Amino acid sequence: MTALPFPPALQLTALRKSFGRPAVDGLDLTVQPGEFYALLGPNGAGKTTTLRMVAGLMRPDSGTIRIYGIDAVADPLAAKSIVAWLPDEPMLYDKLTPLEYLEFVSGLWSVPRPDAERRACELLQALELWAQRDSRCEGFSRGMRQKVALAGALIHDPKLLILDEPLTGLDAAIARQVQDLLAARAAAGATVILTTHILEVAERLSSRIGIIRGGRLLAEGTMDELRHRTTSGSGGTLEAIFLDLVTGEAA
Amino acid sequence: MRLWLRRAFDVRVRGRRLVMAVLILAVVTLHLLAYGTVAIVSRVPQTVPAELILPLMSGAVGVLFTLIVAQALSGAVRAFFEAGTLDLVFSAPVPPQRIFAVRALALAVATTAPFCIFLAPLAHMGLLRGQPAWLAIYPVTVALGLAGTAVGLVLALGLVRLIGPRLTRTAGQALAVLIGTGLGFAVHAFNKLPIDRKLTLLDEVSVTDPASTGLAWLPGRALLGDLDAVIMLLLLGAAIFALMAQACGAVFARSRAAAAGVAAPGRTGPAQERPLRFRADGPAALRRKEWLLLVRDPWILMPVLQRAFALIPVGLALAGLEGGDNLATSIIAPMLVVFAGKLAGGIAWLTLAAEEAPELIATAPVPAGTVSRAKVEAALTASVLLFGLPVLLMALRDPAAAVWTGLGCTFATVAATLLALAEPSRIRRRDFGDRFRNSGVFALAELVVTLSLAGAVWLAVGGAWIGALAATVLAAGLLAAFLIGLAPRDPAPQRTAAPAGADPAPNPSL
Repeated sequence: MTALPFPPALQLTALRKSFGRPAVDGLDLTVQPGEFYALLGPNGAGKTTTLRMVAGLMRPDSGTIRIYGIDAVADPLAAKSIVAWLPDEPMLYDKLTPLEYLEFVSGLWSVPRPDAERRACELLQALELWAQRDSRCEGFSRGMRQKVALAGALIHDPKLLILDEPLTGLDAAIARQVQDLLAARAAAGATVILTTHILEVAERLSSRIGIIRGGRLLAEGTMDELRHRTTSGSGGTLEAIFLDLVTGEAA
Repeated sequence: MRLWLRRAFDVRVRGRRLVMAVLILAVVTLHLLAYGTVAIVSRVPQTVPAELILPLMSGAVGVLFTLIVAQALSGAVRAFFEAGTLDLVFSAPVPPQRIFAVRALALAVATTAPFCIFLAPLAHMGLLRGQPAWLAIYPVTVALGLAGTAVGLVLALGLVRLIGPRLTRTAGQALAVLIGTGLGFAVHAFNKLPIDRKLTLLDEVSVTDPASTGLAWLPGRALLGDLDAVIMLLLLGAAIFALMAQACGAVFARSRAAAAGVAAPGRTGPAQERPLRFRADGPAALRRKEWLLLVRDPWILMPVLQRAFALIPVGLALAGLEGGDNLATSIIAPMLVVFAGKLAGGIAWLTLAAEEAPELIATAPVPAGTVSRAKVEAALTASVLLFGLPVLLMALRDPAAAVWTGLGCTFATVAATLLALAEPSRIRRRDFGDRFRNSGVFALAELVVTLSLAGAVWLAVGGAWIGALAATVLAAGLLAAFLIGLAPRDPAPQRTAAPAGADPAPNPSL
């Protein structure tokens, strides 16, 4: 069998993870390069567990994870070098400044110095953190902390960006800044996968949406494709489709 | 009260049998060391003039009191910034005086208990040697604990009133350091006095008739086992504590309310431009991050500085020694080993067990082994820098002793780092003050190994080679036993690889 010239950005095959009971139950999922993919589901559906396995924070019980063709279980370092993970709780050091944080993260990802300096300046300015670049993060609001963490996630120019509830607790202005930056990254060719409970954001930003429940994919597709799948005549919004699929499946 | 005491002593440990084994080892080691100390102190009356015994004992009580005050002040400052519990309790329909009294009593117990644990073996060994007067250590420590807690709380309240809660957080820790080490500097200053001035001072403080002395020598008399003095000291300590609890309740409630609105300290405004330091080098980035965090956090810096600062009077005392002064060297050498072990333990714990962004590091393309190595290098470098100076000073005076001390410090540092590396739980950096509570067994193991090494160095400096070798073997055996006994039963999780509670046994390579 001949390998495709452009492997999927993410390919999950029969992925399983159990914590006593199955959290992810034979999940198959494929995301193409450059897609903005929203992974939706009720609490406990297995979204975060799935993404944590992709980010290399958990080992799957079985199944495969391929990131741009790299087997993430067999060669985790190669996979990690092109992935960025941004959880809902910013991973920061209170006593470091945003600039020091970016120096640290770019060092971890071995970003060449000229690239790291240029990207740090661009990101700090794009996220309106330039004035605070030498102030310690401990006094920052949640929104500012999330912006610093996002800058850290983007400093090594990841090909696959995984975000778990990145907009939780952000005010409208900062949430919009973050969304704009993510959309720009996707437009520039990066693949973005995010989970969110803010369905309006998923509807507006994502090119495809996957809905999971009980660790299995219930439905997947563009908004139009999802509308066709629903049978309840629910009016066409993502919220209506989501509720139709999730509650219908539960019944 | 139960809540605060549980918070103070709720040592999180795994495996009851292991805990018992470590505790028994610690108790035995402390008692062995105490036996030697009692034997040395029992010879003091033969070498020190009788009229100086009482001043000497009072000096010892003074040292203990300053250490208790420093500890209480540090605890009182932390109590102001306690999240959650104090707000909840103060919102209850109970007079603030009563709440404060209970909180102060919990602080007194938490402050005094560690001193009792370390001093009690002296009392037991004294009794064993047929000197029941040593039992006075118990009531004297309790009395000093009550009075010292009262002084610590008043100082903390005074600081809040004087400079506000924000500055108190840092200034209180700094003052605790100064108080805790102040007497060391006083002793050094006394040593530097001309001999005639020293003799005059000693003459002034000498006591020919202990029974006729006043309140000033009361603590010394109590420590010597004078029953009347013991009772009076206990009553005095309780009275000072009760007076403070009655007078300061309302002030504490107001200060606490002010402290509740204070954000974390630190530089939050715009700062000076500095050159960019981007480097495509993961281990170097990790080391630099650890050093920056170690230097910057007052909650961390102060306890570390406290230990480092305590080395200064030791270093100064060394600088003032005449060559071949074996007694002074034999006292200072094991002290340095204990300081080095405690310093290294704290630093290693911070760098290895208290990672603030474990997921960031776990998702970076840096092998787990490289991460651990870089962190260990950062911890070891910081520790060696801190104990290196006094060892160098010692080398100027007594090269042989310096070699033994340097070896002991290095062994203690490596042992503390290995134990921190084996510590499986992840703890927040700001909980550094509660290290004993959070990593009880590991802190205890570190103490036992460090004390064994200090004993080995003490014996080596004194020329008791066989004893030194035996103590070193004991330390190595204890370390190996702890590392094997405390190793996680499951496949070793990468400490920095997974967040708490997410995955019971994540793959280290992932």
